[in-house]
Amino acid sequence: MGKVKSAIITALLIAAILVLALFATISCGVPGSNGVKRYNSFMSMIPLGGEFTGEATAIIYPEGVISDSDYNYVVNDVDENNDEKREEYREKYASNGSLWIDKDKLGEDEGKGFAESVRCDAEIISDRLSQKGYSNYSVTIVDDYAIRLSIPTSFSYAAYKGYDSAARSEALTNISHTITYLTLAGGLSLRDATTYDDSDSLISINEDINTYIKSAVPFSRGGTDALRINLTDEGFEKLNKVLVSGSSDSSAYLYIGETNLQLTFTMGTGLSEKSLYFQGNKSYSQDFAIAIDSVVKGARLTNVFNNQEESTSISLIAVTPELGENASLWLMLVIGIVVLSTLLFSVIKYRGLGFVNCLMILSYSVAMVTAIFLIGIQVTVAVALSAVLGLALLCLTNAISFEMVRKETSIGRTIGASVKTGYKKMLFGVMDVHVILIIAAAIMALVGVGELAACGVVLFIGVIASYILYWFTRFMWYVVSSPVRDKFKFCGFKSEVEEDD
Amino acid sequence: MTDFKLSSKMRLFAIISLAIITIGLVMGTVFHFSSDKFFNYGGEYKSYKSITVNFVYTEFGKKEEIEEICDKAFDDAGISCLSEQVGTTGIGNNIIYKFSTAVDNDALIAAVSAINTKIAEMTSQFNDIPQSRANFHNETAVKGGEKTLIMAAITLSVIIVVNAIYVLIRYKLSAMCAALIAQLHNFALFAAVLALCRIPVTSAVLVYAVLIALTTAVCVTYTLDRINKNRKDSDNSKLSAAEITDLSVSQTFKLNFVFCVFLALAAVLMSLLAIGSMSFIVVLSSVLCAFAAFVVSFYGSVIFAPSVYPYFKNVFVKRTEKPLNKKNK
Repeated sequence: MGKVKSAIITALLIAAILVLALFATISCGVPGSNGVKRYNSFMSMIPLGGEFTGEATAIIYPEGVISDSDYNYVVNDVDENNDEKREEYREKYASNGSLWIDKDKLGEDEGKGFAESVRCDAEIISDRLSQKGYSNYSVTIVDDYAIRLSIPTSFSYAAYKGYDSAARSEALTNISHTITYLTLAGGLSLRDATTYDDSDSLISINEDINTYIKSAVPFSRGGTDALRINLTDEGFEKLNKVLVSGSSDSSAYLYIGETNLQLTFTMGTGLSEKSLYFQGNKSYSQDFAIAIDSVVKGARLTNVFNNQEESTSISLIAVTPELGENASLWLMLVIGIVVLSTLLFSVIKYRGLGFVNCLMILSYSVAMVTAIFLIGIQVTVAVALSAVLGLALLCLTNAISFEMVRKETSIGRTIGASVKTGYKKMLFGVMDVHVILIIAAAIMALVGVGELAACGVVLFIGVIASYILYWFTRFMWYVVSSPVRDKFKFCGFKSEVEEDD
Repeated sequence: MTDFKLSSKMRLFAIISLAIITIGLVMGTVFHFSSDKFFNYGGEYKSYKSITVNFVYTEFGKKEEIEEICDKAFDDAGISCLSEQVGTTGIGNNIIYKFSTAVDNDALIAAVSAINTKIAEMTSQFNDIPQSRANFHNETAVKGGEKTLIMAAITLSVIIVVNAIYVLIRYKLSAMCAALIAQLHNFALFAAVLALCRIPVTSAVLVYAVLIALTTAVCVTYTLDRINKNRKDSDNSKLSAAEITDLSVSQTFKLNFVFCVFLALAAVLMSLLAIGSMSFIVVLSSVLCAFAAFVVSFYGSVIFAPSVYPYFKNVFVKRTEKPLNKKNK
């Protein structure tokens, strides 16, 4: 290959890497918008795990339990009009640490039965949350009678720092919705009005609506998200009868307990298939699916949480991460150090060939950031480590091949012949390593949950990128070294024979 | 080139590994009976005590004022927190200080009382009853997160089995035995180190366990590939299985070592992110876990596995020779 062609291809590759790297790493104000609009880089738009952007935490109180501040708000109110309420609270509630418990709820067993019911509810809520695929979350019982939920906010760096308030607001709204719907108590019912008190059940008291539903799952196709409810054969027949028997200008509504899920069935028309679709936001569809599926399978909450009458509405607070406010910046710094160290090592060890390896390392890094951004994978320390494992794999396989080529040159072969023989000898070894890791990554992504699944997806992308770049390294080695006279010096190898041009 | 004779040291490495695993098992069992926990479950699986301070901006303009009051109260009570998280409410801030369950309740209650007294003192000019308040909570973790543990265990098991099957197809039975032993050995060793050093087990530790399996798979496969090539090389036709193994380990040691060290350093660097938590224990446990994961991977795949491979090779060679000998007779 001639000097000009070699220079053009190399320059094109470097330009592509630079452009993608700029879009991936640099955030700035949009020129001409007077600082109103801002371009956020791919890295700043990647959702981050709770250890980097903190959690949204909320305490939910079962009926009969109120917080210390709610109790004091009423009891310390000096308004004479509230004397009756004040007295009511003093007589009704007993203190338990930072909580006030309705004395009727405590009963004769000093609240042990009530505490046990709260514990069971907490386990059910924890099981429901585990199906959301969060990287980590926690459910703790507060002073025996309340439940604290801590859910990762999954903010991007831009949202965390306040550069993307819409995304921040959306994330918190989704979490609030999740907490509201995954803590619904009671069973399923189909009712004829939008409010519980004004409605009647459309299903006979002798029937169990749970036997109508096989499962509820979130569904997605072509960018549209929905909730899919799969009916049993019996459920299809019976629900069809109920809907057909109703008037066409009325609707039926699905409830959990006393809460209308806003899932509407049109009366007067029959069902055409056993799967029902309700279009909605991805997160909301998932919440409904988990709640309905959980109730159908018998995991029902005993206690009603955050009863509006007791003034304990859900108060969601976004708290700073345990690793510190700048943990996300430190992560970017650490990854930068890791990449820089591999670049330096390559150049020092292999000189000109190390430059080729550097191009591959940078290509991998930029491709990985772009892929994570496009897929929307939540990045935690473990996910970052999986990406680093892919980088290590690329460097290892390149190093193995370089050393094999070095060994071939040491017995007197030319660079060209050594590259051909060396890569041929390492063909199956390199393939084996990549195949094993691809299979392992696929298993992690499909079988694992939460953080493990995210690591599997990142590793899958990393291994594929590593294998493609491994072969691209050979091509770029040829391209970059073509105009070079002393190819041994270029690669940092010792020349045993005169190079044949 | 480094010259190892690992094949003759199988018993030594087996004794070392067994000793560590046994001590870890004993330690875990002791803790299981004393505190009902084989491992030290941390993070999202851990119970803790907390002091929550809610303050409003109309009473305290900056959170630093509250933090100063809290720090003094904690110092006077002789307690220190594991972590501090700050959240913003519409009208103020919510600061959550987390403490270990081992911290005395009376000390925490005394600290809360001191904080509330100081808050009342500082806000007496504005309100008779301050809106800012500190509360003490006992927070008990629930079991629901076990699903993550179970799925991680299943994932790990499937990866190990699939890896073994692949090695069986590519490199035959003796290699498969060595690869399987390496994986099981590494997992057992890591679990023993977790139990022994009481490193908090969080969801991240589960991922480390899987990464150990992957790192082991990479290093063992690379070594097995080199063994295969050396066996086929005519220059090595007179060497025994043990000698070929030692030669292959010598040739692959450097790159395997660099690979594992690179990953260990990257993991340790990332674990040092925990410095932001300002808790020495959290930092130490993160660093220890990351370091242990890749040291175990290296030891198991580069040192232990090659030492057992010749043993299995000889076992299977003898088994194939026996029927042949019987036929000849």
